[in-house]
Amino acid sequence: MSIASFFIDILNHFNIIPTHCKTMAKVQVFAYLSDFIGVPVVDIDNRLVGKIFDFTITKPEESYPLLSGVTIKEGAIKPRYAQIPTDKVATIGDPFRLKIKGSEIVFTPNPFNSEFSLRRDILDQQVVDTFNQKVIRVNDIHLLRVDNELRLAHVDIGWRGIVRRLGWEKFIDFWFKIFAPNSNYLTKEPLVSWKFIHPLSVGSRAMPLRASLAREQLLSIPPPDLGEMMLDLDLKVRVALFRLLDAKTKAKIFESLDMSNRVSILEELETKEVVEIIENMSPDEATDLLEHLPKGLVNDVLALMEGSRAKKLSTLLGYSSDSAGGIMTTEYIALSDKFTVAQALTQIKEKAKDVEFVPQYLCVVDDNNKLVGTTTLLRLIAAPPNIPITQAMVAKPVFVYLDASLREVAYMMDKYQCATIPVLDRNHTVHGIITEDDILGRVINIAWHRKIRPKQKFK
Amino acid sequence: MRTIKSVQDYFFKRTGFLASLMTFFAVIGPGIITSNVDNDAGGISTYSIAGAHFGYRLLWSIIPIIIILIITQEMNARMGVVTGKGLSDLIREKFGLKITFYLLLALFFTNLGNVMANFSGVAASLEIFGVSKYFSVPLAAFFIWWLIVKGNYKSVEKVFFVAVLFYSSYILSGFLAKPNWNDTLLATIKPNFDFQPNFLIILVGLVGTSVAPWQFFYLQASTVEKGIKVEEYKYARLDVILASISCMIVAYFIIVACAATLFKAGIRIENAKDAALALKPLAGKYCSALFAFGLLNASLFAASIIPLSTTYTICEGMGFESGLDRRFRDAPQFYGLYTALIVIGAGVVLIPRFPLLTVMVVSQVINGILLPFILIFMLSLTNRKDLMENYTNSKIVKLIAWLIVFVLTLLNLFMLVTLIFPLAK
Repeated sequence: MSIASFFIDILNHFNIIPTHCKTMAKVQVFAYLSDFIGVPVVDIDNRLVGKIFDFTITKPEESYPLLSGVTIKEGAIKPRYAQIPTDKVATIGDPFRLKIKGSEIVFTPNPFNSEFSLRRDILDQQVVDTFNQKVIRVNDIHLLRVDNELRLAHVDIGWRGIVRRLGWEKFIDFWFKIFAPNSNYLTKEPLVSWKFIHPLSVGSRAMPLRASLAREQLLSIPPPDLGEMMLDLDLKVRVALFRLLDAKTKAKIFESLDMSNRVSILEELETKEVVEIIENMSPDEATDLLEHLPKGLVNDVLALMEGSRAKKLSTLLGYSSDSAGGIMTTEYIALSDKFTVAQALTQIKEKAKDVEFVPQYLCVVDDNNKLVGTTTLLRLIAAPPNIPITQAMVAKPVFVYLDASLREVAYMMDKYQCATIPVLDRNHTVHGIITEDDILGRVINIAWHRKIRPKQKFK
Repeated sequence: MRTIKSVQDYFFKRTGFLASLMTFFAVIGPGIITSNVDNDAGGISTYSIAGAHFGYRLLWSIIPIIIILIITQEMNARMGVVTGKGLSDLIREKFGLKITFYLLLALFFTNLGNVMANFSGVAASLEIFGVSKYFSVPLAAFFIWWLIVKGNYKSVEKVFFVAVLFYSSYILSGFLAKPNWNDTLLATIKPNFDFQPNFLIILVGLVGTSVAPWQFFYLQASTVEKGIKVEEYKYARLDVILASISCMIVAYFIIVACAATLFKAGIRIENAKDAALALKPLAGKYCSALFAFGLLNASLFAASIIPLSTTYTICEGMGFESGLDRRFRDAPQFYGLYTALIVIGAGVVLIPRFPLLTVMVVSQVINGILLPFILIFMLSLTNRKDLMENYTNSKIVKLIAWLIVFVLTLLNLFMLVTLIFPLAK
């Protein structure tokens, strides 16, 4: 028995030939970029003009963008390149046949032009996978073949893509088919649909082109996760990606980052952008950030900001960051002690329009803004509408002074089991409130002596 | 009317000497650590042999080596600062997967050899103090694993800074050996050349252990990780320059210590352990102990950095998930590679009659083949305007760099020939 027939026996035994035929049939529909690179290109007279080097895309923002141009490489030592529109291609295959004469093609030493290029902008580059919310590196590109057109369908991020690029696919596949025919390697190739991919190459046209689509996809990721993802990127790309987002998302991402990462991004931005971000952050987080910035910048930022907000922030900045005054939020609702419950509820409805975060917690104050009592939204709703508010509140509430230390605040909130606590000055005038959210992060800092960073990276 | 400044203008207002000094201390680190890890167990052995066999005759090579280190490592610092990307990232993005894969495969094997050499350095240095290697090596491997996996990098960096200070033990032992300073200084500036194969082998070895491929990847990655800005680049460059000089000063004193004692007495040695033992009757027990302690420090230092740096380099180039904050199932390649490097590196030292010397030779061969390629890639990357913007290589740097590539390639080719057809014996 010859060796060849022995192998055919093995192949038959393991049912390999039929699967192989199936993949052959699939090639008609799908193909990989790596299968095309290096394929010879002939002109209308069947004369060799070069080899395929790359493809370009005019509209990468589409879900299945058409590969609108093919880049041909000619020569090895001093290679020259030519970009040819794919409508000049007669047949896709081995070889690629063009509709034009080889003498019409103009070669230049430049492999890339301003068009979006598969090789420069996607292959081997880092891209954001908005579906799995990860930064990934592209190993191969999966193309869809419809009639005589090629379209970009998926990016391949798996082992098989690596193996294919290295040129070992047949060899490695052979052994997998024998020993592990059901392995993930063969059956589940990790392909990510192009519509979820956001290219990151800075300087090419990729970023702005896909911005509208990308923004939608990126915004579907919760800001803290997006912030964590951004830490995987190098600074330039991080800032470019950050700039695509709207001010609210930027502010939310900022709230989730630690101070050194915040500052490193800030340094790359314009003052106007900083103002926009700080305006969208909650006052206590904004104060925290401002405290870490150079004085000149803080002054200019406050000057550019809308008046009432700037005033609020500069008041907050006056308090030490490790005192109750430094972490309190000034966005609380104060109700007059002359009100009835019904009047109070009407006022809450009105105020709720412009205060971003309405706490369940309400302060009742007299004409001099001195604290009389505290109540909750739930209690007001449950109370009869016509009774005075003073009958639907806690008369002698727990409070802290502006200069109380964080430990004191935490201690008081724990001792009296309150989720929110008012902050008063020595005249018992209300200046703000501290919620659990405000104090928790600080207490963690004190307890563990440092903020636990979302990522600790070492390279 | 108010003009709107960019945010950066607010941050770099500090000027004056004191402010520059502060910035320098904030930026310093990557260069110092890289250069000193470079004086690892293999390096110390080579310097000891150079001193013991040829006396002061090879001291002149220190200055050219410093120049090579500065020119090459400066490129890495510059690339890291300007692009914000690691070397393996850049090679993958600009030269494709195929080249990256084989390059990283070679890097893995040569670095594995380095790890083995350093664990055997740990074993050798502690044996001088009478500790069995079956005790010291597993303990060291565990300590390294624990330091990296359980500590965070910021605190580990501080440990490394302390380790750098311990290198001064070699400078001390250099003085304790009481060399003839007139001869020493003369030999430093007067080149001395010989076409005798043994002399050439040691010369190649000196350059080879000082300029290793892994250090380019490590230096660039830690520059990126430190987040050094383009405006602070001149401090990063200063870091590289000072580091290159200081690490070669250590090398200088090792050669001096061995030359003043072992060479004078005509003692021939095979490695750093022999040197430490031979120093005892000649230069006193303190000199010998300092020498052995320096070897332990260097070996531990290198054995902690090289496995981790290799793992990060490979994972980034290949696009595997990496980072110590990820769980094992999320980053299996990362933890797999890291563990493999430490377990294999430490394990082979414990296997009786393991052909460590042969493995080291193979590792040196890969190292020698890899080095010119990586230098050429670095040079070609730093010449690219689209990548480096206004920080491409100047004409002089380009010229010196090509000269270095040429000389190193020649030296490495020579070393390969002698390793495959040993002339020395």
